[in-house]
Amino acid sequence: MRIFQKGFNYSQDGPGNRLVYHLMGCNLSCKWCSNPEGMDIDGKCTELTTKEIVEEILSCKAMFFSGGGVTFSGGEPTLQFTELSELLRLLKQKGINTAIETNGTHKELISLFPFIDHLMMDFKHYDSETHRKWTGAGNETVQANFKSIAASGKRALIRIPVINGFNNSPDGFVSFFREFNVENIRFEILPYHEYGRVKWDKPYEVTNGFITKDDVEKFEKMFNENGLKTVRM
Amino acid sequence: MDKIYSAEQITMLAKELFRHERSKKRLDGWFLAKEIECECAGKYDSFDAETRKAYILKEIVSRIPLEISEYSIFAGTQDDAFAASYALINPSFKVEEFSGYCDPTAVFGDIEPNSEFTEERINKVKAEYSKSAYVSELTQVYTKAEKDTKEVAYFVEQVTGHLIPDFRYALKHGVAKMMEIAAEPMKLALESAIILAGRYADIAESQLDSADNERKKRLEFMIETLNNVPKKGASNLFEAIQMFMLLWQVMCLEQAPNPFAFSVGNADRIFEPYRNGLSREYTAALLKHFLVFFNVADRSWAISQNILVGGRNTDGTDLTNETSYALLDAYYDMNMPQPILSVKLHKNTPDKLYRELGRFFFTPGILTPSLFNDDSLYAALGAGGVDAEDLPDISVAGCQEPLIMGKDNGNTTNSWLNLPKILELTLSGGVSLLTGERLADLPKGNLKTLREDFYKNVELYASRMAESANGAAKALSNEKVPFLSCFMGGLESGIDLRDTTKQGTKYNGSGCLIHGISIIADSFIAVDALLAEHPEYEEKLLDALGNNFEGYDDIREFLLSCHKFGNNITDVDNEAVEVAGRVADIVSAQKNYLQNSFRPDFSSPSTHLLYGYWVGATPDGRKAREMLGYGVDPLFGEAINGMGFRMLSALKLPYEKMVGGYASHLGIDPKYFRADSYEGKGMEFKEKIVNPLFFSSDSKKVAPFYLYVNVTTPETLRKVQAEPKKYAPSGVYIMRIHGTFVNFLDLSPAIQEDIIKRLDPKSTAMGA
Repeated sequence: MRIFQKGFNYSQDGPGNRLVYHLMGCNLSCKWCSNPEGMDIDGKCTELTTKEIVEEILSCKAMFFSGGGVTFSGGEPTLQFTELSELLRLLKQKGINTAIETNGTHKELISLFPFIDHLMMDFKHYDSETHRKWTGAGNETVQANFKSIAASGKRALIRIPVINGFNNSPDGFVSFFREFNVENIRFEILPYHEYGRVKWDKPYEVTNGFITKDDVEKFEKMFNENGLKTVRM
Repeated sequence: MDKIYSAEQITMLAKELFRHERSKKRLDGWFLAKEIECECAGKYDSFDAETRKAYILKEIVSRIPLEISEYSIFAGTQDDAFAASYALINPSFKVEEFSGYCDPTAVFGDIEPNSEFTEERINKVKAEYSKSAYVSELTQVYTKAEKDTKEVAYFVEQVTGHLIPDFRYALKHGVAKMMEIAAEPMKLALESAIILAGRYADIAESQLDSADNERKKRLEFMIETLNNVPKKGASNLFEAIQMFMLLWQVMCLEQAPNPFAFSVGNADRIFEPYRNGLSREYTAALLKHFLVFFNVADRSWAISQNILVGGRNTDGTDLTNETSYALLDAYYDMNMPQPILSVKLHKNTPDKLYRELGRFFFTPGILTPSLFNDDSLYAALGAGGVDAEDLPDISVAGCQEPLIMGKDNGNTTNSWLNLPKILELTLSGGVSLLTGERLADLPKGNLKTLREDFYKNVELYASRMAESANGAAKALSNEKVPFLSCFMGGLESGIDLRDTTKQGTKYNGSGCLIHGISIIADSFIAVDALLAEHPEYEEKLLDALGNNFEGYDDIREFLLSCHKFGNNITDVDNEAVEVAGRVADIVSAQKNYLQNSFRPDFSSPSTHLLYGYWVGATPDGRKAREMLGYGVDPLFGEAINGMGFRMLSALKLPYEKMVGGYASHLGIDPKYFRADSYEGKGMEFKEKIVNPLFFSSDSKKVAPFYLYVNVTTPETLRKVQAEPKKYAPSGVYIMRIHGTFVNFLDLSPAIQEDIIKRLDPKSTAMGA
């Protein structure tokens, strides 16, 4: 598998202390991406076999405290779907707590559900065209995957990166989400940041993406009023 | 007692007393002690060495000038045992000028001549002292080892201080009772403590006339106390602290000058039986004076005096008590450079203790305790031959060396082994890569057999080191210590603890501080990779090292790109385990003067800097004269994947073999701790640092048992350097340099830089 970064992180990419693998390559090209170095599937990175990764993860068990484990992030981890799927299966057999952070664009995402303890999926926009304009692809599969999650009752965290000029209004999200059974779903509002801006070697196109604390609260208030439970990590 | 002093008054006096102490610029008492010794040496020539020393001690105690400050509630000082010597807390200290602490007459250079202490007077005592059997035998030892110690392949020293006396019997029964059962020289020496109390009582008496009513009552109370202790046992906390101080004072005077690193042991357990229901607040107030006592003059020159709290019993139950918490309160409120605080933790340590420790770790500029894993210490020392009944008394001498209180003469800093220098000499065939001087006749190194060649040379140097170290111990045995021996098993055995022919303490060994395991492991792995991937470099490597990589950037770049310890990479981590294990075995196989083993101790109390200065470039890519790795830690800058991976590498090391102790440090960025109270952060510290490092292992392997931290960032310390008045208005900003803590503002720039550099934030990052 192709990995461009790994490291431990506490309570930011799933519960407890987690070993986070950033898998190389992404099928989207979000203008605000904070890990642009992970976009190109052929970019410079480390290659490890699933066996090597499992061995490494098992050697790290002592660090998976407070309910921690492993998180696969990206890039987009489902781009290496076959290996990821095998890896998650092996890890569950070994009793390792697993999580993935995905953009929700893989059609077979649902097949991974049995092997994922913590599913974190982005839902960047409810409108496919706007989604395409800002990320390079439409959101039909993301919508379908959301529906599958809701229908399956799978516990999941849906993350919405809120960017001024792109999706800075909760209404459309709320009208979309409230149609489904969201009993086991939590929503996290992620305000725009520019931590990754320095890593861009192409022009950075977002000019005024920041939102205010009030904007975040407005989102959370409206979500919660409509039965969409928000969390802050 | 509470009618004479309120807790607030006691605290106020303790703070005034500390200020008063820090205003002292001169330390002449040790010189007077030496002068008295010279003056009366002939008088006791007909006695055996122990008895002679006991008489001399009595003379010193009877004649040395004493005073009681207006801020003192207890009588006693250890100022007269110390000189302004310890290099690292001297702002003018330079790494390149450091020549060790070994010359026992060098201390005469630490006293500034004036009209009272003229040059002539100083030189006279120095000349007399130089004639002693101790100094002349020691000089012979150093002369013989000069080729080896010159660029520090190893180093040896005579160990003064560095022990943990057990005063509990004395506190309970009194010195008079001990005198009934002690051998003659020890009986004489014990009498010194009673003489000292009598002299202080007389001084207090003389101050009565000029004292106001309040002070008069306090002086009368002091006199009454001094009439009871140390002659009789202590019946309350006030008496216990007073008695402890007087015993400590005599113990230090017996070894003046500079008996560094005498340590207390579990002060909470020593004093709790005398608390008699006193409140935590009042107990803390009294203990503040106890803590001030350990600070000597303007820079707290008596260093590495360790005090423990917490820990477990043999059945695993926790031994924390109300005095533990009172002592922590005293430490926090006073925040002084001495004595250093250590906490023993174990699986059943109550959360209350972690909560109360939060304020130490997360208040900038406040001292932080070093942490010991008592469960692991039990396992390591138990396997090392310590009886189960003694394990609760595991204490710490100086920085981090575990010893059994009152029963263990560990000669902890007797010898020092510099592995990277031995690697250098292995590669070069005995020629210094720094100076070109031939330091040993060794066969020229062969990269293909580097490991075995290296270990063979480690054996060679370790055996020469042991011989020299034993020589230093034998030289020191000329200077008897009948007083201290009474608290180290001598009351029963009648044997002086420094005796090199009969064992006076239940346990005995000699320490060896082993330096540079990460450099050796990284170097071996780099050489393997070089042979496999760049055989064309094989012939060039020695030249590259000798030229400090100048003109060999390609080779250095390659060496730096190889696997490094501290990143949870299997091959190099296993190599570090192997290096630590094999070297520990070689060291353990060396015998000391009583045929007991040398104890492998992987600590480097700032010697990673000092010895690094004497090591040429190494095959891991490190440049000449740069620092070595600290203790068992990865070399600065080489662990780059954060705290999790660094801890995983650390967990693999063979701690069961480190019976002499080891050092490890983490520079922790406070931003990773998000709780909104100190108590909450204390629990977070438990969860994120202590538990994974100490208590996560499910294997039978002995887990790590030592850690110190500095919770700060390089940016914060730069600000303190730039604007000390703003960030440390009190003039005291406590940081740790190794096992000991120091006032950051007292340090030389080189040592300040070492602290900042070793925070090494990439190695301890805890999140993206």
